[in-house]
Formats: sequence, C-alpha cells, structure tokens
Amino acid sequence: MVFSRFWYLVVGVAVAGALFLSYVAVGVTNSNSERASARLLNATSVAVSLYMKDDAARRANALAPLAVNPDIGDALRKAQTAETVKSVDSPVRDKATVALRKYRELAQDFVTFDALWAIDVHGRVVASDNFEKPMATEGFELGGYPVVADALHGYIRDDTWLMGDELWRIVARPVETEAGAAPVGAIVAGKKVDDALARDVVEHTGAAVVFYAAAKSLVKATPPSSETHLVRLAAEDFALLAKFGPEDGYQEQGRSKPTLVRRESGYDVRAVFTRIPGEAWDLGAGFAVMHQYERIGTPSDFYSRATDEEKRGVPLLLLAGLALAAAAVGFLLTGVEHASPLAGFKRGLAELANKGNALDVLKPSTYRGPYKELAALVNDALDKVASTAGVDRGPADLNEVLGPLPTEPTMSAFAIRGGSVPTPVKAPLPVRAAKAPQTAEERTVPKPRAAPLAADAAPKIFDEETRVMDRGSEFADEPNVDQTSSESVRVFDEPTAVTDDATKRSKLGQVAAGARVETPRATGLDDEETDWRRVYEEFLDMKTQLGEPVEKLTYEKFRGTLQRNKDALVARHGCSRVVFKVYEKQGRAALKASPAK
Amino acid sequence: MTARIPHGNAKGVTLALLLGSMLLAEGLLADGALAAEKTVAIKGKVQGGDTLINPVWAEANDAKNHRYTFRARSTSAGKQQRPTGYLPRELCLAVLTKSGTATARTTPAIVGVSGGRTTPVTLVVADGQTLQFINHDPFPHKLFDIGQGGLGPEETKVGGSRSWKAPKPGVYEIHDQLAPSVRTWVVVEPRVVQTAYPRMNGEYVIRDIEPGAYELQAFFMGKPVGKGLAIEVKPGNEEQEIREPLVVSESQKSAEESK
Repeated sequence: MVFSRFWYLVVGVAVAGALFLSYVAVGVTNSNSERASARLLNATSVAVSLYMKDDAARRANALAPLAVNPDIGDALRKAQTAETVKSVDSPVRDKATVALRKYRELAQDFVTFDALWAIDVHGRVVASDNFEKPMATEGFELGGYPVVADALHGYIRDDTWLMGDELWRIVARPVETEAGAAPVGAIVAGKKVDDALARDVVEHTGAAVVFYAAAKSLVKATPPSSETHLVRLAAEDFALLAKFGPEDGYQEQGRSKPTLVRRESGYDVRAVFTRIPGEAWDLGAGFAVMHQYERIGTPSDFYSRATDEEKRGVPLLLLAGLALAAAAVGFLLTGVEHASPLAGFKRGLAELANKGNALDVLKPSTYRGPYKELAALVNDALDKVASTAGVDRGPADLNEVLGPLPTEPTMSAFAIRGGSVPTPVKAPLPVRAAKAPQTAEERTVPKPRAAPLAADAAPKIFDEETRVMDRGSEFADEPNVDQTSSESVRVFDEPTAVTDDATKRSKLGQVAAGARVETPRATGLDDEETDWRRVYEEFLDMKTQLGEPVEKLTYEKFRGTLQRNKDALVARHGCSRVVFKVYEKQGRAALKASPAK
Repeated sequence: MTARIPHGNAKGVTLALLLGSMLLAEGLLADGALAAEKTVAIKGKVQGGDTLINPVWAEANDAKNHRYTFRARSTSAGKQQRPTGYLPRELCLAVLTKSGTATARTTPAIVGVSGGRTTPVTLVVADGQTLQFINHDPFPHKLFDIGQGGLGPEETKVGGSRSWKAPKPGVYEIHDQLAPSVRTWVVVEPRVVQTAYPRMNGEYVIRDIEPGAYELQAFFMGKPVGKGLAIEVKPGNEEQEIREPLVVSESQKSAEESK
C-alpha cells in the first residue's frame, strides 16, 4: 500500500512539475520572443536610418552632373547680380530649366527625384523642374533652409522638409563654376516620402515601416512576411510619442526603446519610433519600424502554434515509453499491494468456506494491511455465530490467530536467559488447523465461562493485553512468561477485538484447566520473594500435573527469569510491581506477567 | 534694396510744409517733386558683414541638433566658409534721429514668408507700425512670437496673410510652428526714420532721408551690431556718400583700428 501510494505521489508531483515547467516555458518563450523582437527592432531601425543616410548621399552624388552643368552655372552666375530673377534673360533661365528636366528624366533609371531646383546665391529659385506651381508665386524662394544655405557655403548635405502633409527628403550641393571660388548657387533636389520610397526602404532593410509626421501616418510598407493589418499606427499610438520621457531615448537621441503598441489575440506588436533628422526633426516627423511576434498565453498554445515539422521533432517513442513504464510501475505496485492481498484473502475465505476442510478460522497474521483486520473480524463473526448457536469454539490459539510471533523481544530486558542472545523459535508452533478436530461433544458441551475471573480479585492491573510467549520445547526447563510489553501493545492494537477475545479465550482456557490464580498481596522485597517462591511451587505443581519434567528447573533459574521480566515491565510501564500467574496452556505450564500499581 | 518706410519728425514735417507752400505758391511744384527735393539718399559700405553668423544655420550645422544625416565639404569649393548671414535680408541698417520720436507709416510693412525664412529677417520699425506677413510657400505657416507680443500661432494659408502690430517698443522674436528655420526679429525702435539692407558686398543705399543729423545703426538678428555711426545729411538731390564704413562687428572694427 505504501509504495502504490508513494507512486501516486510521484506521479502527481511529476504532473505538477511538468505543468510548472510548461508555465515557466511560457514565460521564457515570451521573454525570449520579446528580447529577440527588441533586438530585431533596434537593428531594423538602425538599418533604416543607415539606408536613408546612404540613399541621401547617393542622391547628392547623383547631382554632381548638374553642379557642373554649364547652362545652370551660367544662369546662376547671371542671377547673382540681377535685381530680380525675372531680370535674368529668359533664354538663360530656360536653358537651366531644360538641363534640370533632361537630367531628371535620364537619371530616373538609377535615382528618382520629384523636384529639382537651381538656386542662386540669394536663395532665389532661378530654374526648377517638376515644381512649377509654387514657382508661379511671387516671392517664392528656398534660401532660408539650412540645407540650401549650407550648399551656398560649399557643403553637400541632406535635410528633410515637411511641406504641408508631405514629407520630402532633400539633398543639395553647391554649383561651382570656378575651382576654389565661392559657389554661384546650389542644386537642390527633393524626393517625396511616398509609397515608392517606403517600398524601397522595405526592399533594402526588410523592415515593416511607417512614416509619420505631426501625429499622422503618412505612408507605410511591409515585407511580404508581415501581417499588413497589424503594421499600422493609430492616433493613440502617436500619443505615446508625447509620453516618452528622457529615459526612452526618443526626444534626445531620436530613437525610442521597443514599445508595445498593440496586443492582438496571440500577437504583440512592438515598434521603435525614430525621428528623422532635418527640419522635420522638430515637426514630429519620423518613421516607426514595427514587428509582430507570437505571444504564448497558455502551455497548450505551444501545440497549436507548432508546425508539423516541430511536432515531428518531439521524441514520441521516448515519451510513450516513459508513460508505459510509469503505468507498468503503477500496475505492479497496485498488483502487489492491492490485487494480490485481495486475492489471498479471497483464497483464505474460500478455504474457510470449504466444507471438506477442517479449517474454522482465518489467520490474520498471514494477511497484510486491512486484510489482517478483515480476517480478525471474520473470526469474530464466526465466534459470534457459534456463540449464538451455543457452541464454544474454545480458547484461541494465538499462534494460530496471530501467526508465528517473535519468541522474545529484541530488547535485552525481555531476554529469558541471562546474558544470552534471544533465540528465535525453531520449531513452528502447532496451530489449530494442525490439531485434531474437536469432537462434536467438545464443541457442544459448553465450557465454563470466563466470569467471574479470579484475576478480578487481584490488584488493578493495566488494561493492556498480554501476549503469550510460548517458546516451545526448547525452553521446557524454563517458565514461559506471558508478558505485557510495548511490542505486544503495538501488535494487539490493530486487532483489538481479536486480542480482547484472545484474552478471554486464554482466561477461559485457564479456568477450564483449573488454574489457580494467585492474588498478589505482598509488599516489599520479602513479600515478593515469598510470592515468587509460591509461584515457583505452583509452577512446579502445574508442570508435574501435566507430566512435564521439573528436574532442571531450579528456583534460582526460575527467579532469574521472573526478575528479568519484572525489570522489563517496570522499565516499560513504570509500574511498581509485577504479578506472575501460573496457568495451563495447551497442556503445558505457563506464566503470565502483568504490571500492577 | 531700400525698404521704403517713410518716417519723419516734427521739425522735418514743418520744414517740408513750409518749403512746399513756398514752391506751390510759385507754381513750380509738380506732383512728386516735393519728396525729391526735400529728401536725399545716402550710400556707404558695411564692414565686417562676413563675420556675422546666422544662428539658425549655425545651429543646423551642429550635429548635436539632428538636422542632417550627412554633411560634407565639396572638394572643389573654395576656402571653408562659415554660415555667415545673408546681409541683404538679415542686416538691417536703421537711421535713427538723435532726438524725438518717429511716426509710423500708415501702410503696413510687408514681410514675405517663404523658403525657410522671412523677407526680411530682421526689421526695425517705429512704434505702432503694422506688419503684414504674406505666405509665399506652397504650404501653410503658423507664425507666433515667443514673448509677449500677442502674435498667436494662427495658420496662414497658402497665399494668405496676417497682420500684427507690436504692442510697445522692444525686440520681438517670431517663430513658425510649421517651419523651424523661420525665425524673425522685429525691433520696435521709436527713433527710427528710415531703414535699408545692404548688398551682399556690404554696399548700401538709404533713400528718402530728410537732411539732418542722424545715427546710423545696424541690427542683426534683433540686436544692434557694431557701433552707431553719426551722420549729417545735407540738403540736396544728390546721393551723399558716407565715407566712414559702418562697422558691424566689434572684432572687425578692432582689426581696422589695429591697422
């Protein structure tokens, strides 16, 4: 029973442990996904920034042919001293315009511009391409922008402008007609941040990117592997930008930490917001790279999210083997501890019920656990039935009932022989089944009942049951002492009914045999010595009556046995005296020791 | 290059009225001849203009301010140039009376908004002068003053305009919510009678100045630069040349003196 129950505990702990690990795995998986997503987002954000920088440099370099174009240089040089742009000869300006247009058309195979401007040293637009409408406005110029001013001071650089709802990537470079001289003007080129540019970014970086400005999403593009509907920014997402503190890195460094923007069923969407350098930096313009990653909610999500290939990677044979092994251990333990004892008990009952069998009692000691108690209860039930029928089944043979008992306690105090090592019983005690069945007369003639017992007149003894220590013929020359002991208590605690009944049976047998029961009355050592001598005499008489040899049983040896048993009982029960009584047991003289107050 | 913002003082007006009455009585005055006879132009040269650094551009060139992703010097360009100011729009030369106050003109002073700045960038106006901002860009602007000038961030649509009058003398700095590089300085100076802007080479011509004693002072980005130059405008129709250069940089003046 113990092992099977322990196995249940093992299995329960194993299941709980597996669930614990599963939930830990959920947390670990989500944390790993989050970290991986954060690294990916940061790397992607940097990649987009680098791409945009590289793209701007490439565009600026692509303007080199215009910077040395003679028509443009001529127009810009003449505009330097002109009071107004319109005062510059129209053919000169037209040539510059044509140069811009031709270049844009020729260059579109490797770089695209949405607008080109030729700017004079005053910042005025002398010629432009694909930006005619603003040109018609008197007073339109570009000279205030730092990128234009920087180009007019000899620098090549980029910028980002927010013109209304349009984000423009701008590059500019100086126009130099004479080496080492101050520029005569600048070429400025613009590229709108539109779907084409966003797709270009995605193509080169693999990022799902959303460009925004002034808390509005402008354009976005996603790689084919992304869930397009998840890559979006709503108004509330832009509210995050205003909440970013210094620790978030967005306001100062221009790049936020990975931020959760959306939580869908089974998915988290995170984003890194990056401000775009340039004029647009202060206008809330930037881009967000976004990434969605799966979030495990419960351990069962592992299975639902797993691919077939991942499922194939599970060592199913090993797991099945473990399950079978666990089941086998469980079956084995329950078989040994449950099914087998039950079968044995069933067999015992079958033998008891067999009319051709002389067996009339079960042997509780041959059973384990609850079956021992069940066997005792069956015996009690049989006795009850017999008693009801007027049949006295006679005193119980405790060896028969309880099975072979230890000949003596392992404690030295229980040793019968002084200084000798207790010797186990060598010859099995006779059991009732081995005896000749009682005759019908014996069963039908009632034996004297136990009450009133002579012991009732004795001083109050402990209500603990005693245990017969029949040591067989080997100790025929020594008294058999029936001693109250802690071991006895333990043994008889379980089959209380049996032991009580066994006691009665012993008493019945004692009475039936005409045993004399002495009343302990002496006080002091002299009285005890007198009592022990009297018990010795009675014991010799009993043995003589029963035909047992008494030659070797001296009083000294007998007294030694009594003393040891007394010492043991006194030590165990804390009693002041021990009363020894002589009685017949199965045709042999025996002693019973009982503690007395 | 001269901003035609007529100003005057009580003495000048009295003299003009007296002279006009005399000429009118003689039948010699035709329409427009009055101004030509009573005012003159002065011309001269500004020194040290190349030392004035445009703060907006200078900030934009600082990598810490995140205004570009790359910036490189052209290999074929001349000597390295600092982001010096564009004098024709940023250096305002103001003719100040030595006593009394000027009267603001009744017509508004026009300020264009386009290309990342206003034109002009620095203005010196008389107290009570109305300014009219006109948007020449293809997108809206939202100008506002960063002090107590009362110019709120209202949107000026494409081609639209808005007017504003400075409440009292002082310096007002105007920004644009939709164009960070737009920064304008308005100096309300009660003594100003005329203003003008130099050419890129520093030459300047200031017209319509009535004869008298004045102080010529340059203003750059809302602040007076250099030391004021005392000038005496004599009656006559000719352009009168101011031989002494108007030094707009203390360091430049020191350099000149050391020579």
